[in-house]
Amino acid sequence: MNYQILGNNYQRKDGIGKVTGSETYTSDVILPRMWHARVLRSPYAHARIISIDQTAAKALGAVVLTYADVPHLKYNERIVSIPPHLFRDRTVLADKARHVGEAVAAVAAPTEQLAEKALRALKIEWEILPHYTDPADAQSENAEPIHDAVLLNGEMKPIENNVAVARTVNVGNVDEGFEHADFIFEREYLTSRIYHAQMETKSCVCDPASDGSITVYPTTQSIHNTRQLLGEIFNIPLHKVNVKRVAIGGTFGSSIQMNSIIPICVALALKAKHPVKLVSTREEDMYDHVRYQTKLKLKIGVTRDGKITAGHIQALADVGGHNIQAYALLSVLAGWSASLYKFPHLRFEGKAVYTNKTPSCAMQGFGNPQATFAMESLTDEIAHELELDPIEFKLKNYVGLGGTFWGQGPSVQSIIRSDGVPQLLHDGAQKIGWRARPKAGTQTGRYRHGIGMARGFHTSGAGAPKPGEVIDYSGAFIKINEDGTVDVVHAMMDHGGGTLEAIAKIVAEELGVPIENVGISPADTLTTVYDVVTHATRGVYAGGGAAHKAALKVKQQIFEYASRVLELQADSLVIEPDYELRQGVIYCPNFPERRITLGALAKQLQINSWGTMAAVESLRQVNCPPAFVTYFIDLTVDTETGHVTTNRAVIGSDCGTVVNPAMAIGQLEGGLSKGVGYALVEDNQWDAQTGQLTSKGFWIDGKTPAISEAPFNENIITHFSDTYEPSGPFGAKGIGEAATNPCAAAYANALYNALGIRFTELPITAEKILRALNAEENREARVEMREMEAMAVMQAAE
Amino acid sequence: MREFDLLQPKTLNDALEALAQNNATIRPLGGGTDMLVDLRARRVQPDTLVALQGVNELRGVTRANGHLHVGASTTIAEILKNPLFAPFNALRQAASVFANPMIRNSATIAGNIGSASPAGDMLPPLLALNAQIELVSRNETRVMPLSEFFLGPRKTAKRADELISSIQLLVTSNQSPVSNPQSSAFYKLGLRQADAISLVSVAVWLERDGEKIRDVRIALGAVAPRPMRATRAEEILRGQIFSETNLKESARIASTECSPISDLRASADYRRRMIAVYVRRMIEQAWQHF
Ligand SMILES: Cc1cc2nc3c(=O)[nH]c(=O)nc-3n(C[C@H](O)[C@H](O)[C@H](O)COP(=O)(O)OP(=O)(O)OC[C@H]3O[C@@H](n4cnc5c(N)ncnc54)[C@H](O)[C@@H]3O)c2cc1C
Repeated sequence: MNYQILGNNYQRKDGIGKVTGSETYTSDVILPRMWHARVLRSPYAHARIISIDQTAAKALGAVVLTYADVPHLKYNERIVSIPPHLFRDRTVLADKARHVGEAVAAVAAPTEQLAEKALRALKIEWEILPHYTDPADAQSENAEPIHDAVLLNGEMKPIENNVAVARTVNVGNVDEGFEHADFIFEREYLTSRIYHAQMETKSCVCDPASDGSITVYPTTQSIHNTRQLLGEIFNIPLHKVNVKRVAIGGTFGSSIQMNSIIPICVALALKAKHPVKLVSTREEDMYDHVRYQTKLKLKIGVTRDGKITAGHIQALADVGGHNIQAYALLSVLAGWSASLYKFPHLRFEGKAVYTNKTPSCAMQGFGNPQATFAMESLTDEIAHELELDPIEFKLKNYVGLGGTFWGQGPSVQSIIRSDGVPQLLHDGAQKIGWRARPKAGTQTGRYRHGIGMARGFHTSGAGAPKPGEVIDYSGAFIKINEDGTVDVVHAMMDHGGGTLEAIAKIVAEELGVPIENVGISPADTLTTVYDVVTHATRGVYAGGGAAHKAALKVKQQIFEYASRVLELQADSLVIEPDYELRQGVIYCPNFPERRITLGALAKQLQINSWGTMAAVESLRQVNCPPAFVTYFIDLTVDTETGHVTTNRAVIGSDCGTVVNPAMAIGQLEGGLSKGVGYALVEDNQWDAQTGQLTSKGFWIDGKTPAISEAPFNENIITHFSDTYEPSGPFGAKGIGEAATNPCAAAYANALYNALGIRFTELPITAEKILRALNAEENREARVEMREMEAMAVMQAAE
Repeated sequence: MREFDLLQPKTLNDALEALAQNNATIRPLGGGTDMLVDLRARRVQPDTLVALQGVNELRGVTRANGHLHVGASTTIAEILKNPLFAPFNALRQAASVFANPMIRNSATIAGNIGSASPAGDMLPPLLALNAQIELVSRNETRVMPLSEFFLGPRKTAKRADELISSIQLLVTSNQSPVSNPQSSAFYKLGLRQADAISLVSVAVWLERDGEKIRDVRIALGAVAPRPMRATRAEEILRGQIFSETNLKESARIASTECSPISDLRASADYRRRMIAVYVRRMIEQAWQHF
């Protein structure tokens, strides 16, 4: 396809502000009469509050809130799931602490210093309860309940054995499937609980007005969901709740939900009758969210010639102290694991269990990095055992073009209508030198070199033909200004990946105006129509789709009005950017001399009092096309230290039409950078005895890799497939989460290629590699010994 | 964080006077990169902090009488920049992997010594370079080998009324016909390559005499209650021909000499193994510098 604007790189609209530090983030918001807040967090993993002495804090002039002072309505911070699947288990401040760092009281005072003083002056008496860091212990017969009951669709649902939710999916008859198998492979994979490590910590400013309305400046991925939840919790009609879009300093999924500090800030502001600002410290933020830790047990049956006959997936997810979206997680774990492969028979059994740890939530990929690590490791292993090329094995069992794709889980099915997988695998293999890779386990010597491959995907959004378990639609309002420039009013957030840039480009492309003429308006919930949230790799596909729909409407109006002015049939007109005039120009190709710029047309409309060219549209995509990604990793292991060096990474993406080429490459490089940390380094451990985060919330350990150890840009080779997604705006799909999903598996497979050892637990640290090498050496030594002994016996017998 | 008084003396005398007067909990403050973290974690709760930033006597790096005098307030960044540190490769290498550029601009050498963390990155190079430490109080000035200064984790021979005033390093010029060529090297193993706490660190210093190692010092970080010298490992090499066999044996002994712990970053066993690897590699590296 030939596009005027899509596929070109332009300077980002928010670029200069961000690199010069003049962009406004929540922590930069300063309002007249503003107070400052601090939150009291539990030092214990599981403890009931007996009393809180507020006298000293109040004497300092602070406003104090405890559980007794806040609404007791149980809420779920992520209202993406529809009410029947929304497990509500938390309140603005907790009645009991369910993890270290849980917010139990809060103060606001005229200065930060005073607020901190007041916080220290609060005296709490605790009753310490037994705590559980391991889901297995939490489920034990006599375990102390972490939650007695949660609110589900208006009714209290008792929680038993601390199991937050369980789910089973059956396709066909697995027992029958396994009977047809020549070989059955079974393995267990364990992933880590890593912290999102986004740059900006969660913050909020709330400005209460005398008429009972509030204006909120939060760190969020969804201004509308934040608004609705605040309205519900504080019983304020929605027209009196305005949530502003403020730039966000990265998120990786940690703000899909309304962050727990937001309602605390609002409650303080309402009580203090002052604007209140609440900025989390890094330590506090680390106690707020982590990626779901999952144990995945996979069992796959195959025939001798490499056809999958059945799969059985058992998943155990560690929810932490609050259930943010475990039901949805179990659904997608099934989808992410199984979607790429044709399973004639499949059984999925998932369970999510409460523990007394930081609550888990979505993080770039939402269960997909976990599932893909397991699935792409095991399929690699099966291929090796069957002496098949893993690429061949994967393609042989691949769903492919026209196939039904589960994606987000059994209830969100769509058809694959664009498929770059074969091309990406072919090109990637060539670029990395796949055929020349070493034979696994044959190397000796200090440095061992390996090449590994994995593929993955993420669905572009969660749309489907029928309403599903999650809400997925967007809206956009577009208007033509009186000089021919365009305002795009869209509620979507841009986490830094360029979502809003892409939306501007899609609008400019459709309206035929130079990109400079399209402005992304500041957004808030009063002036935008609903968008669910920027998550699930849906920004360009779903948010861009809504903007495209509105642009098509506006374009129709442009042609209708232009036809009046030019006296030509509306259907005969086209509009194109004219870079000298810096305007979109409307004309009829048959009479090119009769033309008018969009600016002149808009002005004419105004002079004639005809009205404004504008449209507002909502769109639910009825598909969620998979955005595919392939990873080829070339690495070297220093067998003296276990240290892994990435020599080259070849990352292929099928995101349909590439809207922002430089930013798409940036997404892939970013996905690699987050993925390497997940694969090799990052972890958060909890002390079983004390229930404390072993790093104590200090950001010293378990961090993301430093820029100095990331592969050099010239060693990261990115490539894109030539695909066009028929249901996407101008053929575009998503990319963001897909970009990281296969990374850990590609590393694990490359390590197998280098060392002949399979790693099934993340992160694969240098120490674990060295330990495995040792065990392997010892095993070999033992085998050699046994062989020698056997020889000796044989010789003796002779 | 608890409230405290902050004194900002302009002269060394005033600083020492304050330390001598104040018998409550008083602490010197250098760049504050350890102190602020400790204050927030309530590991220390001083009533008074004496900021040393304004005290000129504690600044500056000078060369005199065959020694390099390194003022207490010398920052890690300056060690990287100032050409006077060029002969001390191990120190430079440690500075280059220290924290991040921002921290390096405030963190001081005296602060690193004063914190006496077993994982302090400047400490093994200073030990390998046989540094002397100068301590001053209102009444006396004393100089001691740095190796005698560290008593345990966060415990030193410094009295509450004393300040570290400078570090002294022996400078031997390679041009001089009498002295033998010398070389040093340092490696820090962290969980990542920037802003990491050392799992282990190794500094070595060698003096060469033909094919022989005339003298050697090996210092280890993060593998004992305090930064330590691996003296038995040194003995294997001292006066011997540089050989693969000696090297391996010395490295092996170094790994048995230390007493690392297991924690969330690494197991004791891994630390030991890494000591063996990096002692060997650092000696090789220092030898290659000749
Ligand atoms: C993000 C971060 C990363 C870090 N990374 C590293 C690292 O990679 N390697 C490493 O070794 N350390 C690291 N540190 C720790 C710290 O930066 C160093 O130990 C630093 O050298 C401390 O120096 P300072 O001047 O900031 O000391 P301060 O914090 O001011 O003081 C430290 C201690 O020394 C005492 N003290 C200071 N000056 C004197 C003096 N003149 N006489 C007597 N006592 C004195 C103080 O009383 C205090 O007990 C890091 C710290 C942070 C916050």
